[in-house]
Amino acid sequence: MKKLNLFLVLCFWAVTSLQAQITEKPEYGKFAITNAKIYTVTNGIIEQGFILIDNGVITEVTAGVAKLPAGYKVINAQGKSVYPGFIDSGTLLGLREIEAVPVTNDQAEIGEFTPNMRAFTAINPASVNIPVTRVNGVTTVIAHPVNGTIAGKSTLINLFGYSPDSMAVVADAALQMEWPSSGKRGFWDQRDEKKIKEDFEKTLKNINDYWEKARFYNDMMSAYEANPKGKSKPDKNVEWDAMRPVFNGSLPVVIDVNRENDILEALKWIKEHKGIKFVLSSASEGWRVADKIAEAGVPCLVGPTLRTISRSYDNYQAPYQNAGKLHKAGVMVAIRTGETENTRNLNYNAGYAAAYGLGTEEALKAVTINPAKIFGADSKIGSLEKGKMANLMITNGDPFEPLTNIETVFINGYKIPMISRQTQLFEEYKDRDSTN
Amino acid sequence: MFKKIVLGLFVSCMMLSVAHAQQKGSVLIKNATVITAAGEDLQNTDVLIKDGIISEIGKDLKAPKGVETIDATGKYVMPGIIDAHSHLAVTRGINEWTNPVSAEVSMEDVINPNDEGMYAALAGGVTTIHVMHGSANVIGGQGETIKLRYGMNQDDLKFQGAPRTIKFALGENPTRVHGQGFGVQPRTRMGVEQIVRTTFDAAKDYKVKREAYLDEYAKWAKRKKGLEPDPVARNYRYDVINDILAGKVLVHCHSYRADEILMLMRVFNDYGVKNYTFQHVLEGFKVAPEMAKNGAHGSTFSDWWAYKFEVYYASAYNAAIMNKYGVVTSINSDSEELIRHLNHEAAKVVKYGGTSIGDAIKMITINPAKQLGIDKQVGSIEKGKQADLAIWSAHPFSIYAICEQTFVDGVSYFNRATDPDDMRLVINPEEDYKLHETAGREVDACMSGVFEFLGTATDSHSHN
Amino acid sequence: MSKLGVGVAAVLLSVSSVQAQEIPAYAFKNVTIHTHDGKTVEKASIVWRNGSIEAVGTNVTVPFDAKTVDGGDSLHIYPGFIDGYSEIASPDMKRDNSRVERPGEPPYDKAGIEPQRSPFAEVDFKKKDVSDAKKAGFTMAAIGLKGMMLPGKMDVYYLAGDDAQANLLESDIAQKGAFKNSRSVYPSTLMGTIVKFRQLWADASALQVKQKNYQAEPSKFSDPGRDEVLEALYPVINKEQPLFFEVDEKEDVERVIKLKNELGFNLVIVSAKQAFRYADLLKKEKVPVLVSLDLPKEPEWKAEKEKAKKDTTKVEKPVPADVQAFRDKQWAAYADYVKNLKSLYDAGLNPGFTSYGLKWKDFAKTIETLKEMGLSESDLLKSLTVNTAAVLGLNDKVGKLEKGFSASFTVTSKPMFEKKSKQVYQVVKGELNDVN
Repeated sequence: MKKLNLFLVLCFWAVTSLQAQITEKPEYGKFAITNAKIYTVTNGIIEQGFILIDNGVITEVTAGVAKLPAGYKVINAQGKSVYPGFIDSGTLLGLREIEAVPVTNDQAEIGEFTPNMRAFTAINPASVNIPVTRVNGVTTVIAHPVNGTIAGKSTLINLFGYSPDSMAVVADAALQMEWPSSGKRGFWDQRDEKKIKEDFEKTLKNINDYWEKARFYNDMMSAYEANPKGKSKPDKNVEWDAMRPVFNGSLPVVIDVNRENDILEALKWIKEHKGIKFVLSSASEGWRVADKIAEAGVPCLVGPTLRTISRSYDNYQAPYQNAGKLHKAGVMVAIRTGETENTRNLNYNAGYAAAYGLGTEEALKAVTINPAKIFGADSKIGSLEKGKMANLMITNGDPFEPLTNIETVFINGYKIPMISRQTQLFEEYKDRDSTN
Repeated sequence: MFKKIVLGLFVSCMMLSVAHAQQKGSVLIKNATVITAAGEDLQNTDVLIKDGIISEIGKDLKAPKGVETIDATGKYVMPGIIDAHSHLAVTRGINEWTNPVSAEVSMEDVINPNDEGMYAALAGGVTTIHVMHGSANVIGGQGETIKLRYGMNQDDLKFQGAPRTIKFALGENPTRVHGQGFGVQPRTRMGVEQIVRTTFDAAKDYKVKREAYLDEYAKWAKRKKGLEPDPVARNYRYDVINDILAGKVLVHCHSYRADEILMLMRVFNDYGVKNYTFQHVLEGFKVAPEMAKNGAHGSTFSDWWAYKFEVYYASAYNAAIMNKYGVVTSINSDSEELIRHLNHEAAKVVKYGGTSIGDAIKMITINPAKQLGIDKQVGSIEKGKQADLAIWSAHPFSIYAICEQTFVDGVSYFNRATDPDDMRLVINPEEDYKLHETAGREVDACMSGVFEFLGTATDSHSHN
Repeated sequence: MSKLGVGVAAVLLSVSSVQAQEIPAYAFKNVTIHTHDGKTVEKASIVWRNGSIEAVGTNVTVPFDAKTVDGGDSLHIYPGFIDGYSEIASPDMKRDNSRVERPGEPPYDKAGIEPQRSPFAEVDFKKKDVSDAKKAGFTMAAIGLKGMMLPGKMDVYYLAGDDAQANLLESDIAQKGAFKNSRSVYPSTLMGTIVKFRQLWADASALQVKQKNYQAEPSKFSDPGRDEVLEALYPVINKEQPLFFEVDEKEDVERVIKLKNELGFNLVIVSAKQAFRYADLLKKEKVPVLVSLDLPKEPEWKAEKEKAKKDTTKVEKPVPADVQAFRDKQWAAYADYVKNLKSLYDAGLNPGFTSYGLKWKDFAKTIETLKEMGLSESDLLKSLTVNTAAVLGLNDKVGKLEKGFSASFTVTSKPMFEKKSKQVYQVVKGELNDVN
């Protein structure tokens, strides 16, 4: 039986990789996008202007009419809008192919503390889910592991490339952590209050123990490296070694946390760990404690926006309004879908946040420059500026609108084919010869 | 001790019931853009509702004495959204998964009128939902079409005059539960077909015997002389199957792959079953011509796919292709989350495949009404129809459109401007404010109640 | 009652038949009689012989052959309370996790369909809940077995000694039912359970006719065989016996009433914690009801608030508006539950009592709460005595301190529901137990 299963799986992969192939090649080189309305995000809106792209990099973003040097392929964007490529701040894209088929799930390693795991390693550049996502203007995502308490490192990748290496914007973008819940886990959770508290405190203690050991390891290693003379080199611990960038402040820690109480506990914990960059993720009840999050100066990766209320007595709009309320309180907000195959719906998650209090302009930032800043990639992506990576889309309107078409997408300077398996199937079946 | 986990030790909040004591409303909505779902949109138009019925559509209508007028200048009025696939408002189990056939069970018996999810759906402009059995077995239970008269009793939610329906399910779910889980048929799509045929045949045989007995009994009952005939006991399961065969119960079949869709149409042709709807039907686009030829309807997601293997070759362009081939197509939710924005789900059908806005509107209004057999009563804004409609701040396909007020039978059940935050109808007095159980992430709605017995882990938000 | 007390009582009872011959009659004089409807008769006497009350009142001459206790105007006598639906003395449900071959066609017992079970063979009067009930003033209970949708028959027992045979007053008075199902076999859901009731009724009705036919003319009809499960349902189907059905929620009550009207059986609603939501329906349908006094816990903030109010040294912290709104609703809900029994009287019904769901240790506190929330003592006593007796069809035998009724009553040192009241004697079908 097992063997048969394996055989089936192999067959399925064989078929998959065939199907996943998109044979049309992307174009690369010099492009001029002219006569466009340009949403730079960082420098306002240019009503009529042009963008030059040269071998992957934006070399010009200017109002007016372009006087083009030779050799540029011109894309006349008259009546169209150009936006930076959207960034989803939390997905499983590339790690998980089909949720219900366990062998295609690479997001959850075994273990409570596995900081040495790197999402980067397991990104499948040929995932069928990737083209489906990018043709909607989502050019870049955080893909993160999800197991245990410290799952490992997320990766910030562009959704085009033949290897994780060519896709990576920041190969190791953050350490991904899940905050232990101090509440019930669901309706099925029959633990009483006391037991819940005990379990929470026990988990917290485990985290603290682990964290302190990792911190000590970093201090010890740093001391050794600063002056190895006369010291014997301590043995390497791969897990704690993987956490060293956290302690020198170069690798942010993303904490996935939802409930009001849990967020407060997490903020308390964050306060106790100075010198480290922390980010909250998901934060479904962030709006209840928006002021506290703002006070702590911690950015928030909010979402999905399209989720149901967390408490039955809440206003039905609470999840839609979450990002807006956090922003108003002064929190830097990015939007995440928490999705895999439907990461393409980032646009509408941002759109709901926009419609329910965040506003279009801020919502745009929440899927462009804000996540770029949070993950230390704002020198490369997140806005339409000279010198940045050419991640952008040309649209016939507001990309948050479901009726808007994303017409052209550039990722890392590649003008990608607007093709996915779904469009291929559409082409094949829309005019099916019905006698066959 | 007062049991905490027993769901439903609740209190009614009388406030709402009183407000809705009058079940049919009258109201005049002035000067709106009216999306009728029955032709062109009407600009600057008034809609007059009298006693729950749309009595006039036109310009400069006057409100009869005592009837409220709502100024909808700059706003849009659209028919109440109809969701042909929902599991809201059910108590204690949507899946009688234990047997490959469970036609005898019915959602009619287990409607939970206190589900707050209904209010959230109203806030998304939804007025009617088709409450369905899950998809764990080949022939599941009967569905119930209800109107979202939030605050009323379970019986008062029922859509009067809606035909009976039943859920069938093909493919991975039944083969996984019964074949993989318990080593009983069906383990394959071959087995699924045989379950349907065997059940239909057995029901027909039962019918012959049962009717012969009833005839005998009727003869005996006239004179009551001697002993009554030996009874053939009523069989609740086969009675329902026979009602399907007689066309009294509409089949809504959970399906994904093209081959299984073709299989069921073949079986139904053999047994003379007509007027059925394929649910999910994510590969409907591959067999749209065959579906159209058989008059099969399709009720699908706008863009869900790849959550399991049988939907790996699915496409967001599905609805557009089915519609193009003339299949009556609807967009459904199967989710307490998605049901809140079916308008945007329908809008995606325009984006993916170029369906017209008018046709996409029909996919959440008159088309699901047709699939549920209620299109004479609801699904469009036309004179004489039941006044189920919603007022939107902008065209409902815009992401910025916010539903402001929703009417069922002319009664306002959702009013964004005046409703309080907390819309619970029933309250468990032992519920703690902070430790409140969260609704949590979406679970596999169609398969709820099943996994714990199969040892299958379901993390995060899978679908059905 | 102390352990020693139980022992003494047991010894007394085991020799009671001999004693009864030795002493023809008993009496209390100079006592306060509390009648079933809450009236009090001071300086009264009560005489009983052969288990029945012979005389009671102020104008009673105690006969020469009655062994008499002089209450000295300090003892109080209450009619023995009756528990109309009880699982005291029932063994716990067997945990059977064995897997069945076809979960859709399980054996009857796996599905919780056991109407043939009789409590008589299984009850254990040595269980602590029996002595707890006696201590609370109960002298009689209708007992059924723990189980699921059809757990078996119900018998009425005196709460005298350990011997089920000696305690038995009436056997097989009703069937017990509930919307309770296994989750691993058919029916595994509420909807399955409901339709299973229907199918059982159809199958049992058919079998009954077939058996009659075969018995009458074995040569003409084929032998339908026996089925103890279906046969046990005949008395309910033939309306010779009611179905005692556990339900709380309004929607569930509507469901079981629908079944009753569809299948035609005599229904008694049991537990009914939400009866305040459907008192009118019960009245309209003329369905008797036995109410559980298992009350919700008072919200914690209430006691804290009362305490804070009294503390003059501290200023109360204002409660946020959302929390206050939540509390207001919660308190209203709590009050509804606590006033549940009263609401039935207000609707003109005569509710009886069930200990279902109740923890005996909470009984005194529960009574106190009910009275605080407006239940009169006379209504309370009626529920505990005559109303329950009427539901059980025993209202001409038990529940009152009147001539000809069963001599079953409790003697206390103070009015029973006052603090520091102690049980001094208990008389069960004439047998006098000195509790001290």
